[in-house]
Amino acid sequence: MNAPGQIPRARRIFEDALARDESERDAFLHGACGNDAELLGVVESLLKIDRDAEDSKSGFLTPPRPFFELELPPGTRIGKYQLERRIGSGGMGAVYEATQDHPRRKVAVKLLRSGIVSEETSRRFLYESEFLARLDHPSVAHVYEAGVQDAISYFAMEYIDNGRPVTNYAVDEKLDISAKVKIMAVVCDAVHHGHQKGIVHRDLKPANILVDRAGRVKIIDFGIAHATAAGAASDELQTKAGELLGTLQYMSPEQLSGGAGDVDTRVDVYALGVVLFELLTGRRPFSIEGRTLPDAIRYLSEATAPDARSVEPRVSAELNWILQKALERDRERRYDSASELAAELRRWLAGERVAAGPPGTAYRVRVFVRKNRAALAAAAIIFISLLAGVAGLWRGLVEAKNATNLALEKAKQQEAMFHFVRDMFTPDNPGEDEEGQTLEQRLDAAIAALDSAFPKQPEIVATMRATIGSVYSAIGLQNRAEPQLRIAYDQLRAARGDGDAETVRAASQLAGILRSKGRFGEAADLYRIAWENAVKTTTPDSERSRGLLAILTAMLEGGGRWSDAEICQNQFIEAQVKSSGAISYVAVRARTSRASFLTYLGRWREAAADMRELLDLLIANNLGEDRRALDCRRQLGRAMLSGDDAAAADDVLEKLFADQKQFQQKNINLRLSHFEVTHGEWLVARGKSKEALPMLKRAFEQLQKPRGGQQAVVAALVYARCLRIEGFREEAETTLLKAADKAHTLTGDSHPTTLQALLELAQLRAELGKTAEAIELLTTVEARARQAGGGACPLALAARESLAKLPK
Amino acid sequence: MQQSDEITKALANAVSGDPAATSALVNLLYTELRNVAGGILAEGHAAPTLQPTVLVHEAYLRLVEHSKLKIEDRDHFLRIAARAMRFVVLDHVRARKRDKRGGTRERVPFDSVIDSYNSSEVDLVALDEAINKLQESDEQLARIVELRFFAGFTIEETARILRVSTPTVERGWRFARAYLYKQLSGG
Repeated sequence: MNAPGQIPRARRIFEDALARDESERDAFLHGACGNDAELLGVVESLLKIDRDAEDSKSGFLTPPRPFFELELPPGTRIGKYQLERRIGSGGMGAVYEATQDHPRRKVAVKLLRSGIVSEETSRRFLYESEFLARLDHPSVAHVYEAGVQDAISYFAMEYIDNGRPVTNYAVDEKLDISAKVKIMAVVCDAVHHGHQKGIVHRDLKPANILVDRAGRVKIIDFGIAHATAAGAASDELQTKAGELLGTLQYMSPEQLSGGAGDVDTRVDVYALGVVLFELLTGRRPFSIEGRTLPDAIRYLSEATAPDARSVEPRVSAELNWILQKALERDRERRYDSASELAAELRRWLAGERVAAGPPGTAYRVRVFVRKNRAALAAAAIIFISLLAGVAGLWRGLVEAKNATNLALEKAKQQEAMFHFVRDMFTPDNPGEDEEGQTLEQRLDAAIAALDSAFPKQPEIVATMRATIGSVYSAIGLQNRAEPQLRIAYDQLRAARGDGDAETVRAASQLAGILRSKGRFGEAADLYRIAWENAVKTTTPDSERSRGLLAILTAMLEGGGRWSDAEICQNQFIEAQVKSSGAISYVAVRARTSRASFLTYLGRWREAAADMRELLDLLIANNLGEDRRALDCRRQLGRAMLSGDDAAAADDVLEKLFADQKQFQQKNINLRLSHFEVTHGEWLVARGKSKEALPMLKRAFEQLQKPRGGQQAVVAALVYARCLRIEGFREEAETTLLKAADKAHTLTGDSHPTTLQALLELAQLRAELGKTAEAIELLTTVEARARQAGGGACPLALAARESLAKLPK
Repeated sequence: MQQSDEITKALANAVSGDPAATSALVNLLYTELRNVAGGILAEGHAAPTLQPTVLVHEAYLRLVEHSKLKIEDRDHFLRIAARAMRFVVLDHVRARKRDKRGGTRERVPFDSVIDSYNSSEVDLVALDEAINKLQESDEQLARIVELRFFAGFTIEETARILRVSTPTVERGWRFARAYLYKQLSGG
């Protein structure tokens, strides 16, 4: 078939023939090919090949499985089931609600994407699936049948009425900690049943642990991952990247790194630990957001589970031990079986001693070694990135020297660097105890050796120093990291300028450390460098630029540079509006927080005007009944409340809280405590503090959770004000002290909220007769407020006014 | 970020019909696909879960999802990614053949990707030559084969990406498959 034009002709006739009935084909072909016997022969043979291929007699050009999951229209029959509607997409393919003829019942049919090609793989799939039918436990969804039809493999399973993932169920039903633990004990029993029948689930995650309408646990997809792998054309498991990422977080390290042969029942114990962690804290132990697939796998294989109590303090220490034991990287250290984990959870429920304990001495030593090894690994990774930085140095040298010298220089430098790094990470004497020298000591020694190792090469020294600083920071030695990064940053900046990637990297590192130490003002300057660089290398509205701008704004607010902060805030709003639209949640939030800031600065008129404008915009977009409009009106109310027109403020707030009640009845998701705080603030301002007290107490307690943020400070402030008026002065003082402390670390020592908290604390102390303390505090507040917002800003004025009332 | 920008730019040029830009893009993707494969398959990392289709998807996620691509450009990208995938696979197969003649050779991670194309023992090099020949007289058929076989897209997806009807792809695919089979079996 090589004559020119033959292929298109053959294609046309071939395709036309396909459209005809078998009985007409012969006549058609003869007519179409006319006298061209060769063409006729070619098309005939092609049609025969096609028939064989369609009958799956050859696997020729079988695509390596489709990209997206298989979907069939409702009404399609597969096996003895009629598909009714698609109910989800779990595990490896779409799931349908379906009807079975005999016995007539509702079932769930799961289609698998893997294209089973040969008889052999099909047999393997059916064989593996037979095991699944042996599972018989009230908490395991029954697998009725597995089948293959038209190269689609499927499972028919028990239909679970209104099955919700266990995590959703816990949230919907507002389960408390013991109720969650109780459910997980039942889940563990069910998983153990599977293990006894020789089946490992391999894919336990909330989406596979359902709770039905009656509150019964039903585990689905037991062993399906394995059966499917058995049926796949090769022993690779069909997965698409996005789905894989969703499942990865529940995979044990050995699943992530090992082959299929290295999986035993303890992978399920690990996954149960992840689910329990998520159930108790609302978060998964490891976040892989924003990571690429290879990066996520690497991270998950190496990370150690965080302390659950740092995420959710209400988790008891014993429960945390249990979690840590279930989530051990090394499976030998995990619970041996799901039933052991179940027993442990029941011991905890009964208030008995749990078998998992606080880390003992021997354990601590191991952890130290492990941590140290992890740090070494981290250090090694950072050093790889360092090489890229040095490559940049060489580029600079090209301009200065001729090629021969450069090559020599380069080789020498490279050698020196490798020696340096090698010496740093290998013990001096191979025979010496590995733990003899800590990473910290090695880094100290490296710092001391830098200058002599790289004589007259200040840029390399600076880059190296910055890297070592980053390693210090990564292992938690911020006090060591800071001076090294500071020196490195100054040197890099002098040698290579602000725009250089290495300079920016050092600046960001240093900024992070300063921020964690509460030195917001200093951090701001460095974040500005990073932000300016992001604007240059990406765009002003890129996610990175916006993120850095938000941090920069917060640093300037908290660091007492309010006019700069305002400029940045405006830029930030502009960027948010540009990237996601003026009525997007992020843009609205940015604008309401600017209004809050302006209100603190006494510029309530501007704040109110802006909120009115925003409200009009939201209404014009049919969002008058949206959460955003209510948040906007709340901020408007707060601005008015600090203004001089009491009647107008009352009008705004009265309507707001009436609408808010209606919203709540409609179950629209509002941050109720935020509204309670504003409501309380209003009542207190109108002399109804008695009425406000219970409301404020509730909101205050609600917001004391770790993620309460700045709202928690505001809640504490208003609550304390109310307590003070109601005569509970000591309680008010403790509350204010805590609020001031929290405001300090969270928002910075010169943030308006912090100063407001300190001001009210001083006023309270003056009332309590602690005059000296009050004067000291007021002087501080006055000085900081004047520095940040000028002598005429309301906080400075209020502080001076209070000072004037006190005896000298 | 920078590489993604480069790709977006190359893609814009390729969409506007610049053949040099298309081949530049194929080159970029070629590198990227190898990197992604290398990264995922680096020893000890979840090798059993890797699929060619995942590779293409992952490359897509890494390179273009964050840039502001229009839907048409996305399809264009997938079309080109399929071709890049074909080149990656073929180069690897050729290298493997060369090495086998030279003696023993260790299995490298990328082999497991290649295996999934080889389930029916097709000579991929001969297949590649046959596709080239097919392309000379019918460009569309070659694209269909690339998308279906090398990138693993379904008939429907292929139709969407090529902006033609599903029956067109279905019939064209059946013709191309029969034709290639005939070429490879010496007919």
